[in-house]
Amino acid sequence: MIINSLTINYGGQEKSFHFSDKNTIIHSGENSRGKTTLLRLLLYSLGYNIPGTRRFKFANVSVKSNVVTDNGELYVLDRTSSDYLTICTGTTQQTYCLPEQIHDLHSLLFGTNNRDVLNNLLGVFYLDQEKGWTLLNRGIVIGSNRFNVEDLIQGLSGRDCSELKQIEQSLVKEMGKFQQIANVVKYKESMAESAGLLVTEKYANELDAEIAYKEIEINEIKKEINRIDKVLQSNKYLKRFIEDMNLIVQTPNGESIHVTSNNLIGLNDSIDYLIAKRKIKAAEYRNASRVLETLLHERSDRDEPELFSVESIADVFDQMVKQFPYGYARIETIINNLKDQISSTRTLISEATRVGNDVVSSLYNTIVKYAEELELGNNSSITRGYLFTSNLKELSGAILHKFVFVFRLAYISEVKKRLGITLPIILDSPSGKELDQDNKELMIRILNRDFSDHQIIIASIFDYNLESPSRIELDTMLME
Amino acid sequence: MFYMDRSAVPLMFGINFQVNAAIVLMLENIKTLKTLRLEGEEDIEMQLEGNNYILAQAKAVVKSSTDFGNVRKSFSKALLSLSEAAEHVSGEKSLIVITNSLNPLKDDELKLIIAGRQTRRKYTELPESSKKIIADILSNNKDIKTPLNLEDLSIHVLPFETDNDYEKYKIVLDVISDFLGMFDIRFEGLRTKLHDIWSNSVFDSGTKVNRKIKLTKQDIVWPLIVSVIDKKYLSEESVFCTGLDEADYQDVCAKYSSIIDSKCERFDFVTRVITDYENKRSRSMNSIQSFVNNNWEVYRDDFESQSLDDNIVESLIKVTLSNILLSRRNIDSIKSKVKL
Repeated sequence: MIINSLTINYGGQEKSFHFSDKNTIIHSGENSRGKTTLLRLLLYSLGYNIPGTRRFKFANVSVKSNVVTDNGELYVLDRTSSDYLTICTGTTQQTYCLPEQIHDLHSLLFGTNNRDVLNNLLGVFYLDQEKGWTLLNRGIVIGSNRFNVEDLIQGLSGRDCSELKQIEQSLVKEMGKFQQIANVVKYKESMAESAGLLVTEKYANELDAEIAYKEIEINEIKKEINRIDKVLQSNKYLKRFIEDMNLIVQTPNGESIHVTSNNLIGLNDSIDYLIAKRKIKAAEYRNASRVLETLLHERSDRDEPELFSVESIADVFDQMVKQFPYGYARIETIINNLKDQISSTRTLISEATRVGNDVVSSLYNTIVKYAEELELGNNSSITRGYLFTSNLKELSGAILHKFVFVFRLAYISEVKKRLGITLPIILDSPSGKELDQDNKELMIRILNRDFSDHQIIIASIFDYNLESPSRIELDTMLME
Repeated sequence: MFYMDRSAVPLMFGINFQVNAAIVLMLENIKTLKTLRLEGEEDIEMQLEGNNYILAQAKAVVKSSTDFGNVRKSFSKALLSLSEAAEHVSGEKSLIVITNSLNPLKDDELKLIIAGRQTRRKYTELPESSKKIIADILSNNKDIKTPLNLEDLSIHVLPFETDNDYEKYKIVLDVISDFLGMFDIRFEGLRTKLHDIWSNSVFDSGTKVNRKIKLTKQDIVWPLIVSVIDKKYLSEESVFCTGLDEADYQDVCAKYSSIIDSKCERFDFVTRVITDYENKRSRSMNSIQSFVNNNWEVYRDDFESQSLDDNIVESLIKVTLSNILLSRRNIDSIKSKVKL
């Protein structure tokens, strides 16, 4: 995919930026001129959920980008809101709700509908200046966009682990619940210790059940009233719309009739119907609320002398906690059990991803190739398992920086090899703080040599020896 | 039931009777009714088509079948009030004293006629003994300055007694049942539901300070329509029209009621369905059932969802279409019968 241009409209001011289909350097002599903002807006225009920068709130920005997909389709992407994006090609226009339809949108732009790939693609081609250069194989790309190498590999190799992942997610959720319960049980036991005994009172009785039932009923009525209001609003809007249009129709006998809500069959009926229905629901709500109020008074009268010396939420909470019949030891056992299950599920996912997988071998070989070139090691010092390492602490700043670069190049190559997608490469501040000039040259040499058919966009305060780059100079602020 | 303290405090009891009496008079005159209000010019004031009015005084006695001690005094007050109100209202008037007393004039002959039942007697149809009592009341009550046209006067007896709701409301509920008979509607619990709704609306009309705010025929009839076309009440016929198994039908209604309701209430969608149905029907004698079963796929786009199975979507569309068409038929039928 190639991004040809980006037009930004901010507070009525409009500015366009054009990108080469080969190499583009976004340069400024000083920091904080808007290079990162420009790159982020570029990604925002592609439909990603990207956070704004300190000075630029994306909610107030409209962006329009012009892109060409790998199969030669030209699209104009117009995003005026974080909630949706409109895409135009020739005379057709399609709106995508975001983030709900982001997969549909990206499948059009990138030419694959594999969700594991699409979910991880941003982490493949974009390196953010803040988090990007420490993201090796899993973690946050930017904002809420995450990257996971195992998911990417599953997508590239067509290995579907969705069932196992669902099991893992529900186990993690379950464990979270039990960890909360464990906290509450610890609290219960500390209460019992301080009181000298564990008091159990019968809390749930018929009155409580009746109150709960009434509360559920009231919530349902409220939901129904909200639903009616929405439909009523929509019908009223239509009524106004029709009246405002001042339509005149001609009958078969030549008579002209002015179209109003009164002669449009059924329109007023539909509104009267909803108004009556709403009134009925409102009456039901009033009645149910009155009954609930009475029941709550009854309960308060019942409980006050026996259970509560002080009416407070904390007292109610304590009372409910006392009723919980399990001790901490029991909960701890459950949590340990869940941990084991999560761990074995993850092992299964991992095995399903790694064992006998060509994509893993291919990625490994590419990583070793570039690692050797950047003097990071060779196939004896870099093991196959390194592809999935989570131990980044042992890597010093410059080495981690280069490894990140190498891993990304491997991902980009693999995406191209498996799916035929030529991704753009977008690098924000690739020099880093600890990278010397030689290493910088080595990195650029690889890009020039092996990725010359990709669109490369680099934002930096430094210059790079990319082959015949076009330049965007930000001497002043982005929109000045 | 109508929310009110049911203890036999005479004032509360009187208001409750007044509300129920208004419901009975309203239903008896529904075809020509324009507006209704409690505590307007009278306890109950109804405007009918053609500049006609019903002005009614509601007189309740807590022990209505045994306590006749104050009935004549109460009747006298009612006549005074009616004579004053009649003066302020132009047009044709019916003046009604509506009471739960089973002997409102403490007259044995009239008591025999009433015999504990709901009774409506014009002045001209009263026994002579009762006419004489009324004449005496009018001549003894010096406050009545405006002569009353007795030919406009009627006495209605509406049995309404005890703290037992079933016993107290049984005649009112029977009147509602008779009214529903007009539409050939018989649903479990419908008359009680409507009684609740109307009681609240009528009571509310009496609590408005601005006397111009009145209950209209629309306010009264639409709750009936809503109750009738509620899909729960329509299920039998709708099941037939969808061609679905009853269990499947109930399942779809229970799980997707919000979707069905919203579709059935959106004018743009409803209009499309009704127009399609009318166009098809005009070409052949197409029943709702055959329309639903032969055309449901046309509306597939309106129900597109990746999380629903194809057969669920089919059922959902069929239930929605049949409900829309049956509802339209019911709305038209009820409106036409009550001349709304």
